[in-house]
Amino acid sequence: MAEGPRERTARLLAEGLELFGHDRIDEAIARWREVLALDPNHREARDYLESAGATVSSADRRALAAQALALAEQGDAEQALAMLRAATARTPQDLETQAAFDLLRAHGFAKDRARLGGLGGRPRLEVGREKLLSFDLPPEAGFLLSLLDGKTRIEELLTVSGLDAFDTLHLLVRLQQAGIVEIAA
Amino acid sequence: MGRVIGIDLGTTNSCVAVLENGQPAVIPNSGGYKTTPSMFAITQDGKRLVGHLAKRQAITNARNTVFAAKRLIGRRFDSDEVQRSAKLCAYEIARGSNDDARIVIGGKSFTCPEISAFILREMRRVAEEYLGEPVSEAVITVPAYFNDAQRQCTKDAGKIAGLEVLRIVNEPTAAALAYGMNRTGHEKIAVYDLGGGTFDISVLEMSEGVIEVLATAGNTFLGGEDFDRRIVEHLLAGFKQSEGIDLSGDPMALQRLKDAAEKAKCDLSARERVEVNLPFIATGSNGPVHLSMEITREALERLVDDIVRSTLKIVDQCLQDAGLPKGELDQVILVGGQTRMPLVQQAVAEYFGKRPHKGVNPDEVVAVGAAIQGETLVTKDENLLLLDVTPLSLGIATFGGHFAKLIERNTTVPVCKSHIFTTTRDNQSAVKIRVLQGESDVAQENDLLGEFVLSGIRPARKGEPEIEVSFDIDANGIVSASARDQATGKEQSITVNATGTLSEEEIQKIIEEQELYEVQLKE
Repeated sequence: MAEGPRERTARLLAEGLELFGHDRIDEAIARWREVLALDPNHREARDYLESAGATVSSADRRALAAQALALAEQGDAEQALAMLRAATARTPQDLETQAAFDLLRAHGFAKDRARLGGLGGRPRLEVGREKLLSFDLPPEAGFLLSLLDGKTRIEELLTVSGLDAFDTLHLLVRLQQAGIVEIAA
Repeated sequence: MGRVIGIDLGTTNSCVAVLENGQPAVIPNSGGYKTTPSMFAITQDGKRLVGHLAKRQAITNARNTVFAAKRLIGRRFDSDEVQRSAKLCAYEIARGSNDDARIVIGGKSFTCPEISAFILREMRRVAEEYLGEPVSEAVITVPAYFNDAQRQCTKDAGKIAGLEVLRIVNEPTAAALAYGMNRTGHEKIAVYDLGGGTFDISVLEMSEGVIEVLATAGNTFLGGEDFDRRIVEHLLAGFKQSEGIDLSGDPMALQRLKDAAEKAKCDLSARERVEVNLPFIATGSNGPVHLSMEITREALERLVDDIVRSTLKIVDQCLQDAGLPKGELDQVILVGGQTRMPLVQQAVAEYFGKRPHKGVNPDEVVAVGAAIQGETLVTKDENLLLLDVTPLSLGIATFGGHFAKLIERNTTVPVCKSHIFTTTRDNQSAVKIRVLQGESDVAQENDLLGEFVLSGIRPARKGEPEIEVSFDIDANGIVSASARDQATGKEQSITVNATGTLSEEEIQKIIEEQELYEVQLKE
């Protein structure tokens, strides 16, 4: 049976490690680059390459950025953002990845703002304590909820939360969608 | 003629009031609160926040949020208060060009008057929104112990905020004014002021519209914030014990704990027990972890009892200074939100042997007094004469590094006093006059307000020339000094430019900068 992409990736990774173990560094790097050609966001391959002192080529980074933007266009913005967030964390100096990340965030921010009806609304907690505790929320959500008083506008919340504005707005959308928060005009 | 507002520019909170048809009105801000946190912040994206918004992000953006700037205003960078603040504050305090303390946030260095001006401008805005007309004149209160530099800097702050400061009034005096409104007769009162960040006690004498501060004492690092801190520590320890999670390094959790502690403290003034619920405060191995703890009034009182007792030692000192046994006081006025706590009221009642007066709102009374004073100044009401005192002795450095006091502390102001000094060397043609404020006999242990040189003294043997040095302390407590060679008549006078005070040029530059910022904001 023909080798599928997943099997091929696994084989190339393993071969690279074997070669690396025998000090055949150039050959190991070549294998891991092959992995990246198949999957530009492959975390292990990137980590191995970095460990081996090899830089990830700008072509690879461009491919990753393009793949992420394509994902976003197909509607999987969460996955696209996760890919780019990981990539910018790994290579913060890479302007191309950063630009793609910023672009996606800007689009995401605009969409979330539209979902909330602008930034002038005043969010308030819509559920009682018991129901609230039935949700599985991160501490950031707990913190954001603690800032809601029904008087503070979304725009002010973004400022006073001290959290990343995009993440805060996105969290607010999720809380609204879950019925935890209501936005009053 | 516009309206004069009275501003209580507090260490932790500020309040603004105005007289309407002869009755004081405390002005609520847009959130409906009658006090506004004295906080200023710059957010990561460069926005400037004042008041409640600044407070709500104070812990998560601690390095760029200024609180208690009043402790720094008019003080030298090397002073104990500034150094102690630098250890307590997350924001950076740096040495200014004339050895004053500067605040560095958002990559920009601010003078202390500039920071206070942000608060004053906000209070002015609150008043203008309420009154529906521009406001340009104000009376601002300061602690009674503020020295010349601190008073001048507060006046500078008013100017930067676009206010003509008609008078700087001592806080206890303002409280007494509000208390004494419509009262006649002779009374000796104590003003016990436990605010958010400071404690002050003053003894005053009121008689037929004349109010005189007899003595004052305090602690600039003792207040309601210490109570909050104890509650936060209590909650942190309880949570660690029950859940095994230490929240002390988590700014988001600390911000919530601080807010909850302050709320619990206030609620416990009216209730015997409260529950603190902070859902989703952390994530544990099994998912979200919630903080839920009960605090009783009794537990709170145990946590802060030593703080309350420590204020009474300061009261002892003040009464000693005033030369008054506590039994001779007719009334005790409580000022500052922290005096709402039953334990505080009980401790004060036990100490003085009488229940404190409850007819004035402790959060608002100082601003109300300032508004009354403002009205008095514009209507030239001669029935009310304010006689404040200077909180610190004033004098000059003399031969051998000694300090010669010319005006003793607790002397009623305005006051003018002069004294004859002479030369210490034969044919000495000039003398340098160093003006100081403080209580130490050693000159360098006191605050240097300024120095000036009187030259052209006629040649003579040491001890012969007579140089008359005069000091004026005006009704604001601000000092000016002059020296005159009695033989030649040569005179030199200065308005003492003390630490951190700004030149007219500097004030103008700051105003222009702030105007530019506001224009950019609108664009």
